[in-house]
Amino acid sequence: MNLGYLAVIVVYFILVLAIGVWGAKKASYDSYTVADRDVSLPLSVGTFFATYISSATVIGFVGYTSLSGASIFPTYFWGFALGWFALTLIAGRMRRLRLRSVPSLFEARFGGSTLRVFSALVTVVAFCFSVMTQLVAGSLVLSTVIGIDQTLSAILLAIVLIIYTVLGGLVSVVRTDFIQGCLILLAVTAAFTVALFQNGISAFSVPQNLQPMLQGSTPTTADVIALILVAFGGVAAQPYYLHRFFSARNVATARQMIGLGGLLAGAVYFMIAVLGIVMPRAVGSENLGDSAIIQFGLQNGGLLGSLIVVGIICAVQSTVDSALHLVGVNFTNDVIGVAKPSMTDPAKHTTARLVTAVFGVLCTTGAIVFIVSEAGFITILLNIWLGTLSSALLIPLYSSILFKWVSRLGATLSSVGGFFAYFIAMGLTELGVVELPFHPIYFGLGVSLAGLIIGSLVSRADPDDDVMIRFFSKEGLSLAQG
Amino acid sequence: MFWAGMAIFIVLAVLPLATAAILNAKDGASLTDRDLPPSPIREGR
Repeated sequence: MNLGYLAVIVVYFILVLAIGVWGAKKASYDSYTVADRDVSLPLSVGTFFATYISSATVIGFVGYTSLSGASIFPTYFWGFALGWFALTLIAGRMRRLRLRSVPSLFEARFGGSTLRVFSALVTVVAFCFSVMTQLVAGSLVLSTVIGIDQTLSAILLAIVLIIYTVLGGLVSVVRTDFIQGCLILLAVTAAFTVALFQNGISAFSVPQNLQPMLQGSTPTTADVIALILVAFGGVAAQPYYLHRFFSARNVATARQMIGLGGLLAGAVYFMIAVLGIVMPRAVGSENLGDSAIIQFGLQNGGLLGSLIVVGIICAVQSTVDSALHLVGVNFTNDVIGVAKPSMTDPAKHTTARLVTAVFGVLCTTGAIVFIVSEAGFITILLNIWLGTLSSALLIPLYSSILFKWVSRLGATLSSVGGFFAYFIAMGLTELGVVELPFHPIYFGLGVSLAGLIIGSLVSRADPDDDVMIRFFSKEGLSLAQG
Repeated sequence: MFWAGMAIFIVLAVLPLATAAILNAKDGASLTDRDLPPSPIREGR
């Protein structure tokens, strides 16, 4: 057991728990769901950035670049940046709506609760799988580096974040995210600096095999377009980024949260890409892939090793706490709250905490089952669900906010159709039943777009005055600026 | 190809910051704006 790394992690755990306990002092349903809509720009940027950078970013993208080089850009980076651009375009409108959850947008826009409940359930299930796989990835790092059992590592990781999320809700999550974001930035910058120090200017020279873009996950141009769509949709329709708009202090903060947060994430991606091309020289060809950055940290040991370990733990916890928080809020606000409209805010607050805790325990149990049984199907399910999230939300959500002609039937067909088209196409492909000529995202987004247009033609939109003012008028804009 | 890909990415990564600044200037939105009073329109109608 490595006691040095263990001590660093224990200090970090105590720090984030202390913030969680402090957050619990601001106990109301609004503080739990949207942090009282008063999150400043630095905290907003910090929470967006930390939620954005997951263990997949730190571990996976260095590993992917070390193997597939320039393919990292069409596979992930370009689509992500386009997703930030889309988020910036709707940030102001989202903030003005003053909602408590993304699914409730559909009821505010169209009336009726079917689409609200449906999108909430899709989100809840998708994020449960996301929490499970992130816990498995984080626990693997923790157990490899410290030398403790992986199951115990998963429990330790989960307990800490469940406690601070349940206690303080979004108030705690944004503050722990800020600290975690700083530590992630420090860790990646330190690794980048060490790589530069060790390799000098040649750190920027790209080996010949890492130059082509058409390799790895994008061997053809059709794959390039498909994966840009997947990455774009995955960011632009991601509920925990969209949810952050409701908690930002004002419209300008909501927009710059993405502008500055994207820039910060872009800087981290730059460093990660350079680390990726350095890895073949730094850790040898036998250690490339997901283990590369961990190997690099262990190899250099000392302060860099500690920073990388804590950075990876922060990346896991900052993403998982946001996902778990959203599961608690969406299930309470948009499923239980719709079934029991008479619920008061204090009752919803208690329920949201309970739901968050229950889902946290369920997801941890799922992660442990995955660790013990080494059941790979959870990763497959995650891929299916994350794609369905994009297919079920991207087109109906953006069109509902941006276009008056979208009707309730159009949005519902778009969301439900996109969900099932992607789910069935991806499921059949993953199970090896059929070999589709195109990536399943084309089916998901294609059916979603067709559903939107057909539904809105069949049943014409007739937004009432409230909706016109709230979603589309200049008056709504000036009100929002106070 | 690697650095060409990176150059495209850097341009795309700066785009949201520029867009946010332009939209805020166009709307006259500022980081010091006060928040709205509670909206009279409920989220569920």
